[in-house]
Amino acid sequence: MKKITRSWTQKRDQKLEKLESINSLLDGKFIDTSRIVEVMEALIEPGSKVVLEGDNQKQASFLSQKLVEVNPSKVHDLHMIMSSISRPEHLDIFERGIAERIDFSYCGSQSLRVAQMVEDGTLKLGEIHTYLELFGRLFVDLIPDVALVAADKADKDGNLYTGNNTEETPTIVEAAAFKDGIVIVQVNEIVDELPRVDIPASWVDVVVKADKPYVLEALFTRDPQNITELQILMGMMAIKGIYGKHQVQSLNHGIGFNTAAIELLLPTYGEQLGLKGKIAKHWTLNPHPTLIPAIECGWVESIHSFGGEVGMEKYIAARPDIFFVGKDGSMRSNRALSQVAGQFAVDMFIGSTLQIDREGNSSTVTAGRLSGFGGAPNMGHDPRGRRHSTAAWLDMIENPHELSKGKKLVVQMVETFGANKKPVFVEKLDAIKVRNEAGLAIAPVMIYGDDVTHVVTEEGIAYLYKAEGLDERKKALAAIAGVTPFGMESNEKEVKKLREKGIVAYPEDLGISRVQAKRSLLAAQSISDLVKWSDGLYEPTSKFRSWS
Amino acid sequence: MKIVFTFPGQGAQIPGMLQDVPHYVQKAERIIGASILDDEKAFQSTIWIQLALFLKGVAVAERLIEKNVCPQFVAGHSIGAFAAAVISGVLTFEDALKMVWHRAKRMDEAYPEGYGMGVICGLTEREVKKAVDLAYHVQFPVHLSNINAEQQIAVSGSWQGIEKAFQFAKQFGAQKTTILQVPIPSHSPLMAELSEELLDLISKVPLNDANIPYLANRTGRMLSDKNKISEDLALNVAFPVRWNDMTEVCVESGADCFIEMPPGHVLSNLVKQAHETTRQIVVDEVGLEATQYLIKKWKEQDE
Repeated sequence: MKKITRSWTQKRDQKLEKLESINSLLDGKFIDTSRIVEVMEALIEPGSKVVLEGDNQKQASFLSQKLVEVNPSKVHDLHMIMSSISRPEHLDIFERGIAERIDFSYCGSQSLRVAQMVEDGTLKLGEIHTYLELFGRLFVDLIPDVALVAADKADKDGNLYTGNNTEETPTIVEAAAFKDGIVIVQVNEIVDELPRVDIPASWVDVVVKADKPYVLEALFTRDPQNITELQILMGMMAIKGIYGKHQVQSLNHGIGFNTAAIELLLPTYGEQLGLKGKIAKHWTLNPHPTLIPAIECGWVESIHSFGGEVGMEKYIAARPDIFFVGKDGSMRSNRALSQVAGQFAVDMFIGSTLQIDREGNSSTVTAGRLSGFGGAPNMGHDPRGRRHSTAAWLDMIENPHELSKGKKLVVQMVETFGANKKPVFVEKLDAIKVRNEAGLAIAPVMIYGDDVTHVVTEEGIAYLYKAEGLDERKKALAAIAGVTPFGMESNEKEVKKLREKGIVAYPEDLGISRVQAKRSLLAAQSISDLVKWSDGLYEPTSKFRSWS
Repeated sequence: MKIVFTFPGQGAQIPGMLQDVPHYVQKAERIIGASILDDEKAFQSTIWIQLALFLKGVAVAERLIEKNVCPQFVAGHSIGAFAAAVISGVLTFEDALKMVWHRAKRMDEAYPEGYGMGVICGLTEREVKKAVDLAYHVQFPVHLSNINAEQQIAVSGSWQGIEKAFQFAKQFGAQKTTILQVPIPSHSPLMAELSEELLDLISKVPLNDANIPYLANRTGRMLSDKNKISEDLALNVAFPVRWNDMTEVCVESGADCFIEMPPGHVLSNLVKQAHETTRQIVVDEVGLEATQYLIKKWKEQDE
């Protein structure tokens, strides 16, 4: 064995050298807004691994727009790492040759261009991840050379305040800062004193004041006006037949209207069932405005959030017993930690999807579009590394034995026909075709059938965890698949047997009459009702206001 | 605000539509050496339909630009692509007109009767493909054609083939099937020969890279490269127009306002349906003055 001779500080030396080269432009850690392109050209080495902060909501929009302006002969072939590809310029950098390769989680709003660019070879696809996997790889084999991130405020020393919209900024910065990556931050404003420090100055190399505040999307606001009676019926079935039946204490909700309906039914229908204080107490989710009535009625004990929601800031600040709020009064979100919580620490995940096959595998990918995963698969699976028990988790044990363990409840909630009037239940997922077209190693399945414990449709609930064998599982799904081709294969005799065994429940089996499902059951009928519930603390953006 | 100019294709024509653009008509007549017709009788032929749509598209777009209403993207449907290419600066009005004249004449000669186009609503691309494959017969060909919306897809070929495809489409649950006012099997392999001819023709024309990104009919890509754009202009006649993809790429690229050149509002309806949050202006309905006013107002609001 021979010891190798090398410098063990190569990366640090290189970083110092690079920072030295822009010394004349630096005032402490600060550079002038107009010099950012020059600075990026000096600091970003061709071929570098660059994390550009495009979160689900917050976008480092000044830095992404300026990255398009760098000279491609100086900065090229970058390997981008992005949790969300969400802005046009995130892809323009590939067309200009500035970037070459990408590893990402989600690209819903750019999914056609991504598919086209993969096909044309303009963009080389690394892997498509769930959020946690991508964050994990930042500390393993995708360690960033440069991190381009956004914060609300910096103080004179370069400490950062990220507040409500902290999201994944600390995670990204940590991966770069402690492995000699260069951290460049855009801030909305520079102040003498921060409300609180979210990221310490010693983790940060360059701070630039953006020409405009970062772009922030309101993604989690669902207007109660658009909730249908079918969704209310499904919500009632879920509350009684799943939340109540299994005593679900902790949970994550998806962002659809189905789960918004449930949030608004807890204070009314849930109360009638006497479930208050027994279910849905601890939440990992973004601050959904539709949760306000349940909070105000005393249903909710805690909420930890992935990110913020525009308009909810004052309401959250006034409810620190419920949300995670700093001394300064603003929420601290954290996508990585909330995803961990949603994966390991909750009883149930419930969400919607676009396609489900006969075995219960589901996907939101449709032909010609490559939308990625985001965080749903982290939460929408049974983590085999879980070792603590709760009543709901243990309730999933069907055949107890010496070593039996519980299961997370993974619930899919869909109408049998989607918004495009096509059956949600399909022979084959479009994901399989997309895998072939994009040359992916595996088909982009959002949630695998063997992780799904329940499926809810307007027809009823399939308790898949109770089904014995694949055949019974398929029959249970068919029994609630309505008049889709797949549903029409089920016959009365088999359905009767499944209902007797408790594997399928129709509304009448749950003691729910379809005519009960009225909009008047919702605790709020409109956005203005939500504002009233919040005593005026919730301030919806103009997009969601019918008044001015 | 990012603006897309959209240029309609065949089906949008209205008799008399060139009355308000006499200068363009005169200019065009000098170039092709023939009188240009736009009456009802003339519009039974694809020749006059195509010429009229091209002239009107260029004329109105140029007037809007004079009024400082400028597009960030251009997207033309079928013959509309030629007007879009002129506005994006890829080729001159004169060269484009010559191409259009040739294209239209040859399309008119190629299938004098027994061929045309239809549209199927309520089925996906995959379902229409299945209907078309089942209906296809060498003697009575039919092909999948323009994808106008996720579930509004044209078929192109012989009338018998189209009828048969309609029958299968209804079996698969189509909501509606309609015969189009297009007397030729456009945007199908039946036009392959012509597309090769056009490719040859356009290779002799001086071209520039687009100064306004152009949306390709055949691939749904956003292009600036002159060679790729000229290839699209030549070949699109033999391939489906991927209108749905074209507008989606615009929206993904930041477009939030679509202005449709006259005549009609077909394209605006399609865009509105697919992208609810975008703004639409139908020039045919509101006129040039109001278009200019709205754009000015919206720009101020955005700031």
